[in-house]
Amino acid sequence: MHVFVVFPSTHEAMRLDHLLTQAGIEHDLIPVPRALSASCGVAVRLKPELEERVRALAEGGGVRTEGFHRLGSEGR
Amino acid sequence: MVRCLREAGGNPGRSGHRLSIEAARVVFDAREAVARLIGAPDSRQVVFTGNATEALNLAIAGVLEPGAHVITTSMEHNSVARPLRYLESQGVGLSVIQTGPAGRVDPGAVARAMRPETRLVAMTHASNVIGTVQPVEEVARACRERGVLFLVDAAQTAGCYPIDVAAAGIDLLAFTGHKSLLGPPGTGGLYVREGVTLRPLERGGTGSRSELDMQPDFLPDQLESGTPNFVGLAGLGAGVGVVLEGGVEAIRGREEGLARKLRDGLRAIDGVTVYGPDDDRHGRTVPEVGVVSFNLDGVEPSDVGYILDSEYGVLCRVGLHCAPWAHRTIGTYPRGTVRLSLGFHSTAADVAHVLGAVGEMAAEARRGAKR
Ligand SMILES: Cc1ncc(COP(=O)(O)O)c(C=O)c1O
Repeated sequence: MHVFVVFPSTHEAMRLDHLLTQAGIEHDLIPVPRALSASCGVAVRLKPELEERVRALAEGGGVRTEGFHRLGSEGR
Repeated sequence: MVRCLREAGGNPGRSGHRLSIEAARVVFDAREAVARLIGAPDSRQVVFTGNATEALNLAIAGVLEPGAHVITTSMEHNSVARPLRYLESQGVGLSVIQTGPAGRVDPGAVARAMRPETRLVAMTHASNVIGTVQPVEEVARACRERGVLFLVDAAQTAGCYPIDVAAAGIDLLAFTGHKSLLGPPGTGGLYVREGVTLRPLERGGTGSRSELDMQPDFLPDQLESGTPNFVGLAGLGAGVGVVLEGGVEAIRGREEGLARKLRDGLRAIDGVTVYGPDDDRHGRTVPEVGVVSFNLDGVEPSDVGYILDSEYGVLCRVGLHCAPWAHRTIGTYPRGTVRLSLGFHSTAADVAHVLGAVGEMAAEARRGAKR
């Protein structure tokens, strides 16, 4: 299982990507899984145990998200 | 930019594949760099356009509606003057603040021109004809007190003169990539203060909210329709990186020193008239950027430009520089001037070379006049 973060715009996805890279937090940028609906087509995929840290980073960095979702690793 | 086309050739924000994400990252990095340079609290508020003209049109048309009133100055580029004159024909009230020949705007005159229906003050940060820098902080204060939006045309200053939009209280700031930001032509943008809403000029093609028929209401997407010039933005991001590394204050100090040397040197040549910010009696108080306009007695600007190019390898622009209002203000309409521009790569040797060239041309002109 993974956590998928979705965003209103690409800019917000890139901002979270940037913050996570800076903080050395492992993540992937992937196309938004079909099971989720989101405004922007890019999602951030994380290991579930990282969710709390990433939520805090996103909030602190003023990143706007459209939610954190738990799905199977393939996004189903 | 070449690497960008090879390795990031996807469409930023349109899909989730690797190349598209690389392209989006390039745009993000450029946005962050510009935000840092101009003191924007959040890079979301920086929207990219094709040039400063597009950014100015977006800001002007995005704010003004018939019945509203706008104030501008007699030193504007036609990228401000023409959109405003057009809107005037559509029922927008327009006041143009006249400056003296040094081109410096009196903030008090701007404040006095404000009316209850004034929505916007639109003004250049520095003249593209004579380099005069305007007191934007004072004008910003007057705007804030009256609840009027303030648009600054920073085409001539972004990258070579300090700008802090948050500290100054600037609501809208237009910039171009191809001058002191050291980016390629075809790049530019607009800073929009958080809380200011503009009517978009274009709608659609944002990649976000694809299921909706309405334009997104968040930045940057709301004001960035269509595929962005991300190859150009790669160059812009790199250019702004160089500026940030060099430091705007240091760049400004160098360019100002060279501009003064050029201005003083030209003024010392018999038969040369130099326009613009002048020493006043209390010392040099009018700030300037590296743009110097002059004329040579008895020689047309176009001839001066041709000889500078063909015989001395000095490239300059002659004529009205897209700013007929400014030339009327400094008394050079319709003849125009010869304009020399200094930049990041200009040196003291370049200035000495130009002064030598103009000195020889002036001597030649004097001999010709005697014959
Ligand atoms: C003061 C000023 N405003 C606007 C512009 C227009 O910029 P752009 O060519 O990027 O549209 C220029 C430069 O050409 C300029 O010097």
